[in-house]
Amino acid sequence: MRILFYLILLTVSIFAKNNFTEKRYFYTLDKTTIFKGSVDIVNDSSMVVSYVSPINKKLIQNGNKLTIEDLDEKKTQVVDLSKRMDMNMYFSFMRAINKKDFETLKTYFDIVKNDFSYSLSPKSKIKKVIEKMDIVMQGDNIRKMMIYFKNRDTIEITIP
Amino acid sequence: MKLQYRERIRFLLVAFIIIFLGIVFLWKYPPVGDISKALPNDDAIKVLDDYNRFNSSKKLFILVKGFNDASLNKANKISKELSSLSQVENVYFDMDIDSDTKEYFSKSWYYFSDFDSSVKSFEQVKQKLKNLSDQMMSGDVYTPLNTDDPMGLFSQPTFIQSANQDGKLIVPNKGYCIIASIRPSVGDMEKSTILYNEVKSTFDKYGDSIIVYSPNFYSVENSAYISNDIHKITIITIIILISVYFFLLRTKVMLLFSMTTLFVSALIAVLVLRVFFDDVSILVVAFGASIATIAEDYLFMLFLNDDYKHKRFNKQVFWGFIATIFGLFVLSFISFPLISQLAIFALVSLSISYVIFAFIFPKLEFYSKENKEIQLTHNFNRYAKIPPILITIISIILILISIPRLNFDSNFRNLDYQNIPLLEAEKMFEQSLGESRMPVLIYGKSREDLLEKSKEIRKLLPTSYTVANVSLSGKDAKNRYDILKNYNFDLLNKNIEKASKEVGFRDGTFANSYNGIKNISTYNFDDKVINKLGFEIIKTDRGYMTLGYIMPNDKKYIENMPSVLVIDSKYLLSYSANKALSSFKLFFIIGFIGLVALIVFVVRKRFLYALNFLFFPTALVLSMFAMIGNFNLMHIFALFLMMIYGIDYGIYLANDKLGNSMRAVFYSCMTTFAGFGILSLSSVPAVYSMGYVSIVAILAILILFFQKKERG
Repeated sequence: MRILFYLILLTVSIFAKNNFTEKRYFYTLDKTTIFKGSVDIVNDSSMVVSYVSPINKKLIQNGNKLTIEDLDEKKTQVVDLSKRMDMNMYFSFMRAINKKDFETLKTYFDIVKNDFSYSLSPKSKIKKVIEKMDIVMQGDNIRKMMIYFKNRDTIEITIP
Repeated sequence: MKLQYRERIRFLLVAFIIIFLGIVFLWKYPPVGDISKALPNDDAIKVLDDYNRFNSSKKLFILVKGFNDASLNKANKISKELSSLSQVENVYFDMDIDSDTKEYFSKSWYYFSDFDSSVKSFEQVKQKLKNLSDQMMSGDVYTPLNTDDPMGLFSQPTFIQSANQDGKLIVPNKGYCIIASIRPSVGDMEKSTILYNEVKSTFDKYGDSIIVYSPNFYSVENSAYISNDIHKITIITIIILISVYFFLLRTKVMLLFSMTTLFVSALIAVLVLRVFFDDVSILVVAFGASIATIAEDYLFMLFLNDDYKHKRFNKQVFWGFIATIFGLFVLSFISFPLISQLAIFALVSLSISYVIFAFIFPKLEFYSKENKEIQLTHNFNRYAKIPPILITIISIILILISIPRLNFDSNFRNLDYQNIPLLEAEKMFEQSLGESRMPVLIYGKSREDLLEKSKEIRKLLPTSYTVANVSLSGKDAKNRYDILKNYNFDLLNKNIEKASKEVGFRDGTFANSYNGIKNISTYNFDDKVINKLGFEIIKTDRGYMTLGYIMPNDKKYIENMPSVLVIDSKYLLSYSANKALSSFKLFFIIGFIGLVALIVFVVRKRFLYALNFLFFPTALVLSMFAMIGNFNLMHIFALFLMMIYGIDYGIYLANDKLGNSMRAVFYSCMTTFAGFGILSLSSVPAVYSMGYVSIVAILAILILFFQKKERG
């Protein structure tokens, strides 16, 4: 299940150096939570995701190291990315999307391009968890991203 | 035809037949280059032998430098090329596990997980679901609801995952890593050579962009290096020997016969070794030419003293030979194959040479007419003014100063050729892939016992990785099955259904919770999958064994477990080396006392003069050990040989009146230098260690020429 967490990171990473709003809908509870934050892609091997509401946490990826800082409770958790296949897969996605490397993305998704959007259907392991993904473009920039899970949960990320 | 020529032709004919047969035999059963074959067969080495039986020790690693697209493409190509090699069984590059393994884990999930079997009250169930709901709504990351096990009764089993990137194996910070399981074991020289050649011809095109390593490559490459050394050394030895015959002895005909004698005796000695040992070390062949040249002493003494001409039996040579044989005989009992092989080799080759030189050569009629007037040692005695007692005192002082400064280097691998590229590659793969974990051998009387022992280690050391991480003993599987069957999941599900509504979950959210347990099948130990996961269970004489891994800091916790042995090759080899040194000391003392007694018995009047040929070289060599900071087993062996050598000279010279023996000894020193001193040019520590000792010993013997001959 951890793969999903990294897919969320993936979604925010595509809004480089931008604030974002993330709506998480949980089907089993029939409730929605709205998260606000920002993402900063420092370089090819480093990025920072900061949540400011309703939680105050920072996720810092640097090479093979991921640090999760809880700014309220002053706690830090470090993860070695070289030993985590799921995380590695996420960074592979991230690189591919940032480089607009659709060849690599095709390893994991079947991609259909429409006028202003891309529709991604998973074809690898994540197929068991994700139904599909939609990316809405505005010019060369990504405007919105939707993830539809098999358990009927959804996540919608938009740039204000 | 003269009788002399008929005898010579007959000699050569017989010699060449023996040489031909010997070469054919050696061609078929070549000596081994793996230095571990020359190690003592003690408990420590047996443990290493057990370890080498595991397929996990039969691996080949390739690092493709870098993480860019070109590196990935190259790695994919290499992994395909590797699969096509005849000595490669399987290639691992993708992290994906196969369907059999997936099925095994899926079926065994409830067995491998830790199970919280405590009964949950309705309030506890409700609180847990409330926590889940809160975590979903306000978690830092999206967490999908686990409806299979909402109470979290089953913890996720822990497995060690290799470092990877994009689902491909990597060496962190260096590049992509491809691992192949290979067919030949480390000791299988023939197939290892095939593998090595195939790898070289297939992957040389990638140049420095890849690093290839396999433990099997040591024996292949090191044997080649040692063989190269042997050729180089043998050529120089032969050139020096020819020079001695041409320019000093001036007898070309005898050169042919003496060389043939040395060759025949060395060849027969190797063949005799084959009878006593399954594997003859290539190092014995390396030293063979050197050791064989010791026999030149006998020839020079007999020839220069005109014993051939007068058909006399030379007692000094005989006693010198007996002293040598005695020393080697004592040494041959040492439980250290390389040393005992060398001792037996020397014993046999010198005996054959002595018999030929002393009893057959007189029939071949090499007379001193072939020996022109050479005045090298004429009137030399007038310069010999050092009192033997002074040399003895100096020797004792040097020995007493040196002994406290002696440090024994017990690392056997320091004796082998220092193959830097392979050693560095080994270190890199070991550190990055093994995560510095230490292998441990686990023994059990039965498979069940083995799995129980592995479980004990897992309990004691949670960070360990053994077969217990991926399997269960029959007893544990049954226990778990009974516990699961007896747990009231129906009641739990009812409580979950009721509490979930109160917390706010939709109806039916947990309808299928813990359904898998209702149809749980009995646990099945799947050998094939366990093997794929890197764990082998091997049958031994005493039961079964398997290999596990622990963190180095945890070593102390299992040292007292009788059924677990840590594979610390450096420690195990040092244990063997120290044990060998202890037995060497014993043989050394026995040999030393025996040689002193022999000298006193044979030489009588000038025994101190002769004894100095034992004391002084020993003192200088020990001083050398003290100065260079350490000594190894080959140093000790060479010292022992030089002592035996020195005794011969002491016996010869103590009764030399005409100076012929001194000439013989001087020539012999030259051939000794040709045979042993030249070894110092080698790049193999085991070989050049002997070279250094012999040079110092020869120097000491040359100094002893200046001893005054007085009654002892």
